[in-house]
Amino acid sequence: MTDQELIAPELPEQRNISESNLASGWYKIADSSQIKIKQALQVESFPTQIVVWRGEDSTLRGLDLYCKHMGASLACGEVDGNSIRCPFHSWRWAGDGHCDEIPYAKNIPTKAVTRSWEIDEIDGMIYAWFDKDAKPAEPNGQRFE
Amino acid sequence: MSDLPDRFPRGWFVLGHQRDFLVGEIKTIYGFNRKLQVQRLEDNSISLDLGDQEPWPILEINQMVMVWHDAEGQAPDFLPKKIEECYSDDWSEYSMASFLVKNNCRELIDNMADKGHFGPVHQAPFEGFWNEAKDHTYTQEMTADSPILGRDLFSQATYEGPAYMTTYMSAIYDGQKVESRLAVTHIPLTLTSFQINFGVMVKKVPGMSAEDEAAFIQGYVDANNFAFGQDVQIWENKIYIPDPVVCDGDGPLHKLRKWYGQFLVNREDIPAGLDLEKREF
Repeated sequence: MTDQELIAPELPEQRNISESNLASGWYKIADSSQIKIKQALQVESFPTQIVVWRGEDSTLRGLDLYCKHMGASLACGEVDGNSIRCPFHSWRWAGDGHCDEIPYAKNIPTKAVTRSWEIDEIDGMIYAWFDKDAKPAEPNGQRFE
Repeated sequence: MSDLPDRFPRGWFVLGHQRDFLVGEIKTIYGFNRKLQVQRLEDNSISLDLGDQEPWPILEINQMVMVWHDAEGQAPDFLPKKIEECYSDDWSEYSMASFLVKNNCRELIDNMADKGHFGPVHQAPFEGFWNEAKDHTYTQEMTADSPILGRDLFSQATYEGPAYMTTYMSAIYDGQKVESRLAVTHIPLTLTSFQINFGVMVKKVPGMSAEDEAAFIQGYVDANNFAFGQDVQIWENKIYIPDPVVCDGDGPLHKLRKWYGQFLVNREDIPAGLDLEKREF
């Protein structure tokens, strides 16, 4: 070990979007070829970290990266049907942000909801809609690459 | 990081296995935001040089060298219990492995109440799961079938303070009953990094040749290191959720975190009611 070990590493946290100055619009986050069916991608180049995956139905969906239960990265999980399953406790999250299955629980807590992001795919490129005040996506909104 | 603890917890911290401290050799160990110079003296005692500061209490027990860290600078409130197997020829010595984790050391503790992770992380869904908290100790018992550590697995794990956990396990592994003991210990380097010192010892199987015994023990040590690595991978890729949404199948996570909190405040600020009667979750 070296003295470098005494430099405290910075820990990740789900970045707060209210600190972003980005205008409303569609932001390019990946190329279509980067996310195949049943694959997930961690996206850092966005005001907050997100996970984007392609379901069995080929549709892309996006959520906050870190699981609202115990904080694991959903990008390390597996796509299950059209939802994504957390690697830590197998909570399964649907694209609308609702937890839709917990293998070891009788009931799903009503608070088990995370933030979802609208994803669009056009001409081989993947975009995520960003609006600081969570206004709904405008299909013809400005596109940033 | 606004919600990080403002200090390192109070308790006994393992500096290493006692066989690694040889007379006359000065070891530099990183911990608590500083370098600790540790030396075994001619009279076999261990000295810890902290420069201008009063030396911290040192203890050798259960094959480990430990130091008492206390932000208040007071004498230890408790001693870890002696584990007879650590002094028995019927058992192997602890085999040690180290892991460096970039996170606050409190992340380790959650596992004690976390029955839901055994299936997804270790492919070993629990069957029975119990928790109990008493003063400075927190105990978890569980039964499971594990593809890595064996079927009919029984495990009893106890924290004594915030950083010294020992486990007794029994399982049927490779057609053979195996009894083992783990030591899950850590030392914080900074508030956002810690080193785990993980020990595994196995009860020797009567009638086995020395060669087979060594291979059997090593096989089980490797299996444990693999299972532990599965946890480390999760800890490296997560954020801390201060107030998690829990479900009806989760263990007493909030209760556990309150119990751990006693080591992060001065003694006079420890709240009452931290104990938890043993029960199944």
